[in-house]
Amino acid sequence: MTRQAAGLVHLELAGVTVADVLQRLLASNPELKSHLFDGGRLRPDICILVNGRNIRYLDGEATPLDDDDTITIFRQVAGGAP
Amino acid sequence: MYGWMGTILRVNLSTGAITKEKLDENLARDYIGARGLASKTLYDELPPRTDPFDPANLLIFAAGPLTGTAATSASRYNVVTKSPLTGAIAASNSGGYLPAEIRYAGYDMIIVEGRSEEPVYLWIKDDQVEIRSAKAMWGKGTRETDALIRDETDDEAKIISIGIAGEKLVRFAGVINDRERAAGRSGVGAVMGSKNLKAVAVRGTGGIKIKDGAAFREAVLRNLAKIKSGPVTGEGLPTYGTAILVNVINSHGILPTNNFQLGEFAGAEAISGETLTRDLLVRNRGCLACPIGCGRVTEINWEGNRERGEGPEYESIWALGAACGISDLELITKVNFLCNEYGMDPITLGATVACAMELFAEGVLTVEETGMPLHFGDGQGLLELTRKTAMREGFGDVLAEGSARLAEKYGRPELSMSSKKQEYPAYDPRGSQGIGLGYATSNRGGCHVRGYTIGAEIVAAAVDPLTSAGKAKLLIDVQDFTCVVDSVGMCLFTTFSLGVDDVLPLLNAATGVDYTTESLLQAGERIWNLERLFNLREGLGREDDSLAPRLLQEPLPAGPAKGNVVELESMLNEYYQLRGWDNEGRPTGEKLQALGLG
Ligand code: SF4
Repeated sequence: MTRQAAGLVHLELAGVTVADVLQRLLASNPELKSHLFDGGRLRPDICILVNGRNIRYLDGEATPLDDDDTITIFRQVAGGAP
Repeated sequence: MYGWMGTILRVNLSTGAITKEKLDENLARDYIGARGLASKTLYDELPPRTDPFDPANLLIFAAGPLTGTAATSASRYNVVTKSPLTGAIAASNSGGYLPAEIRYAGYDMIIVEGRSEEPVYLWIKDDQVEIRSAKAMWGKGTRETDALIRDETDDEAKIISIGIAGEKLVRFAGVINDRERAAGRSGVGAVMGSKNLKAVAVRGTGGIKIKDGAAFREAVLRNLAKIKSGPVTGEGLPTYGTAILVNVINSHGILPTNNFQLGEFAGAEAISGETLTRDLLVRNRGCLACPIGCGRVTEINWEGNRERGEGPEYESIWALGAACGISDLELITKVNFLCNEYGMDPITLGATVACAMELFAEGVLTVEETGMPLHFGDGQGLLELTRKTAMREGFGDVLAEGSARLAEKYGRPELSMSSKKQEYPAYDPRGSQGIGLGYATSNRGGCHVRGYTIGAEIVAAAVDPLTSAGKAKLLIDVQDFTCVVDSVGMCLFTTFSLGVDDVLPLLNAATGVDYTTESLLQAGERIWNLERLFNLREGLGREDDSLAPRLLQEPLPAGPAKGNVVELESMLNEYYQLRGWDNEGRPTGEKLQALGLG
């Protein structure tokens, strides 16, 4: 993890699917569990992007990963217009 | 009347006539206030094809029936006129404290017409209205003007003013109120300058009559709870301001970089909301009755001095940053301060300089024209051109016309990233299709706040940003609801947590009118169609509902939206159909009848 600010977290971890990576992340950072999950399910205000695409439009947590893929996780707190 | 003050102030600067008119109750009900009511006035009174700088153009400062009440974030007004940048209708929105003061002084709208021979300002103290000389303020920045006028009038007065850019008729000059709040877009400040009107100062000591106080209080408290618990309004905007979007939008590969040549900016982190919060933020600042408080008071070290001001917001950071390939946040902040001081729209400024940078890279512009090398990433160049543009000095005189006229002048119109001659904001629509349709159909030209589909496409991730299916319907719903929000006088940011059924009880309790969800949204639709009718009468049509060729023909070269262009044609056809417009984008007779516009 290189940075954690504004609810935006960048990860550098290996795994076969998004779910694997999340599991590894939580194993080494258990304090993140309540931020990301609610009763075993991903919280609805958490966005996960794989190479900039929301996993909602891929295969969700089962989205497969390649070596160079980047996962971005952020909470949906960002808003702006002016 | 309840909710509305019931009085319109009209000032003719050519004759010096000052009159007060009764607000027509039916018009108030049908067009609500602020953006809606002022657009109706402009449509009815402005002779077609009037030059925006002709004294006959109207400049209308309009608040809504909730402005200045206890409703959350109901701090807004609109400045409506015919735009010198686009030739279309301009409705520029701002918050702060001044909008409420107009209402406390007893007015829903101030209509300014004609042109004064000499620089003047208006001094409105409740029902006393004077036209005073502004010779002492002409040539001064907006902050100094604010201070000088408060010295001459009342320290508690709230001021709208123009800076040097408005005086010099820079086509994208804005107006500044409460020293740092801007009705920034479409050149409303240039129209003010063309009238020799330096400022409007207002002091109001009256109140607003609410029809059903108990119901109103209840609705306010319910909305307040929703705003406080909403992730964007309760946490994101208060903590990080709008600039939190820099990293989010860049992660989606749609942060337009180097005049929309790329969708990812290598310097994003350096200009992000997180960096701004860490390095420059002094404190938050909010508008009247707003629990969100998204404004940022910032401080920079500049040439050995500490300088303090407000901003930059996400859009300015992008325009003065990524659009020009610049990643120096202190410099961006300094330029933003200067834009407030000169009264100039930072979005169009940055986008116009970005266009000039691409023309320079293409060899179309040379040092002979620009007076300096102008490469992407050149912060000092941007700084220098900001001043020159406001003063219309040297090459700045060309930039002061905006990017469409700049690119046209040098034979490369396709390099202006604009629709209806107004520059796009900070989202590359090739990776967010709905906002592309929004830019193309916006009644005031390239703009995100007429139909902020980014909320659904990116922020809430409720719909896939890369697909065009369903976007016409989404956009229409957002455009019509936005008309309502802008017209009641609430801040658009509340819509991250509130919907039409949250605004409805406030408006009904305040005014005593029995709007329903349907009739309120229909009022929004009526306002949108009226703005459209204004533009059609001015000669704009389907060919103007378009996008820069780059967005339609050049696929994004990299990132999550790689390979995509905007699928405009199909979305536009569906949009016209759903709107009840013909193939040329004209509302059908049936639609006009249904909206009471026939
Ligand atoms: S959300 Fe921001 S811009 Fe809107 S009223 Fe509140 S402080 Fe002003």
